[in-house]
Amino acid sequence: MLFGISTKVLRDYPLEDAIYIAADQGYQAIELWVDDVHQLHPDRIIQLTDRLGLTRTVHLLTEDLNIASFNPGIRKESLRQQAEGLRCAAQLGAGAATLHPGRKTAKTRTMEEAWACQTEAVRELAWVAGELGVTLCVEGMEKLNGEFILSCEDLAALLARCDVPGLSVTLDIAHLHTLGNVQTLLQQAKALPVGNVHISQSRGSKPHLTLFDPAGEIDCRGALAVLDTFYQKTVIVEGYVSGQGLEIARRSIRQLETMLEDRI
Amino acid sequence: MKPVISMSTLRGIPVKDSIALARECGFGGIEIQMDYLPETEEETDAIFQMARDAKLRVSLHAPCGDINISALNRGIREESIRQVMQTIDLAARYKVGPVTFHPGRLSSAREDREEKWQVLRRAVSLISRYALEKDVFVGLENMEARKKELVLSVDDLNRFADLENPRFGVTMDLSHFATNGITDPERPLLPIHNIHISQSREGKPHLPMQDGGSVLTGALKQWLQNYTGCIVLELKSIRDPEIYRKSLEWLKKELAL
Repeated sequence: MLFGISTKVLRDYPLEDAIYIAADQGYQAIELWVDDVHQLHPDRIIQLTDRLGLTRTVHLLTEDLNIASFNPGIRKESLRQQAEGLRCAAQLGAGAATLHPGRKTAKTRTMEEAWACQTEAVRELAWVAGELGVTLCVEGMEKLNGEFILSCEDLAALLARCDVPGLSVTLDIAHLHTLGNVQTLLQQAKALPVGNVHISQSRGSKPHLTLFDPAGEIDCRGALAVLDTFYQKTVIVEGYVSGQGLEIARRSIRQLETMLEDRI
Repeated sequence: MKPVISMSTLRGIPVKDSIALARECGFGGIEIQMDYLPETEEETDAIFQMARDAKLRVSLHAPCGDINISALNRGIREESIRQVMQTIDLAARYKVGPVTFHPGRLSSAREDREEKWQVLRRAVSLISRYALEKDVFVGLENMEARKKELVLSVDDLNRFADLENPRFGVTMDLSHFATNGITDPERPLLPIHNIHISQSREGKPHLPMQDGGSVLTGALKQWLQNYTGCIVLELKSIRDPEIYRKSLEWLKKELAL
C-alpha cells in the first residue's frame, strides 16, 4: 500500500510546504484537493511531487455541490465544476480522482428518482474521466441526512447502473465505521474496483478524528490487515485539527507503518 | 383577509390540483414554490391563469433545495442568487407576490460566521435592489434551528434593516422562531411582507395549528393591524384536506380573520 496524506490535513500550510512535509515525513502519495491546487502552477506541482517521489491523487470539490440535486441549475453547476476538477486532475497527471456522490435533499422525491439522478450524473462524469484518462472513484459516504451511497452494496449498485468501464470507488474507513464493523464491511469491498482509500479515526457518528485520537473506535490495524489482502494502492490520511497539521502528518505515518509491520 | 396555503403543504399533489384544492378548502390564496412549477412557459402561464380564474391570491417561494445565496462555492452562490432573481422576474411578469426567499447558511461548520454574514449581506443587498427594480415585494425569511443557519432571530433579521427599500422586507415564520425558543417574536425593524404560520412542538416545525404547540399568536394579532400581506399556512406535507380545513378554521377563529 502507498500511504499518502490529504492536503486538507495540511491546510494551514501553503501547498508547496505541504508537499515537502508529506515527502519529509515519509509519505509516498499526496491527495491534492482541487480547491488547493490553484496555489501553484500544475507543472510545478508535477515537477515537485515527481522529484519527491509522491504519487498524486485528486479530491474533487465537495462543499455546496450536489451532482444529484433535483434543482436543475444546481445539478448543472455541480457537474460543470466536477468536470472542471477532472480536467485539473488530468492536467496534474493524477491517476485517481475521488468524487462525493450526490445527496437526496428533496424529501418529497422518491429514492428511485434520486438513484436515477445520481446514476445519470456519475455516468456523465465517468465518461468525461475516461476521455481524460483519469480513474473516477466514487466515495462511499457517512450516514448523514440525504446521503444514500453509503455501503459497498450501494457502491456496487451504482457501478452496475452506470456501467462505464474504469469507474471505481474510494473507500473511507471512517465513513464505513458509521455503518457498522469496518473489518466486516471491508470484506464486502473485495469484489469492488477500489481505486483509493481514505483513513482516519471515528467515534460514533463523528468521523475524521486523527488516527491517534484516543477516542477513536476503529481497529485500524485490523482494517489494514483486511485491506492488504486485496488492495495495494493509495491509502490517504485524513482528519484535520487546526494548528496540528505537521504533528498529524508525523504521527499518522509512524502509526500506519507500525500497524503494517506488526501485521507482517 | 383569508389565509393562504403553501404548496409545501400540498407537496406531491400536481400544481393544478393544488390550486383546485386550495379553493375547495376555503383558502384565499396559494403560495407557489418555484421548485414545483413546470419547465415550459405555456404550462406556467396556464397555472397562473388557473389561480386567477379561481380568484386566489398568489405569493411565490423561491427555490430552497440545495440553494445557498451565501455559499462558499462561487458558482453555487451565483446560481442561487440567479434563481431567486428568476422568481422575482416571474412575480413581476404575473404581477403576483410577495416573493419569499431563504437567507444563505454556512457551507461548512468550520467557516467564520461573521465573514459569512458579510457574504450574505452582499447577496441580500443584490436581491433587494433587484426586487425594487422589478417592483416586486420580497421577504427574507427567518430559519429554523439548524447548525449551519445564520438568520434565526428578529435581531438577525434586523441586521438587514439598513438595506431597506420600498420593496424589501421580511417573511416571519412563526414555526421557525419557535424552534429557536422564540414563541412570541417582537416586530422587526423591516416591514413584514409575509407571514408563515404553523405549530411547533419539541423542535419540530410545520405542524397543524389545531394540534397545539409552542407558537403563540399574541404578537401576530398586533402585526395584523394595517397588514396587507399574506398569512400562509405552511404544514409538513400531509395529504389530508381535513387537516388543512381544521387549521384554517383555527386560524380564522384565533386571529378573528
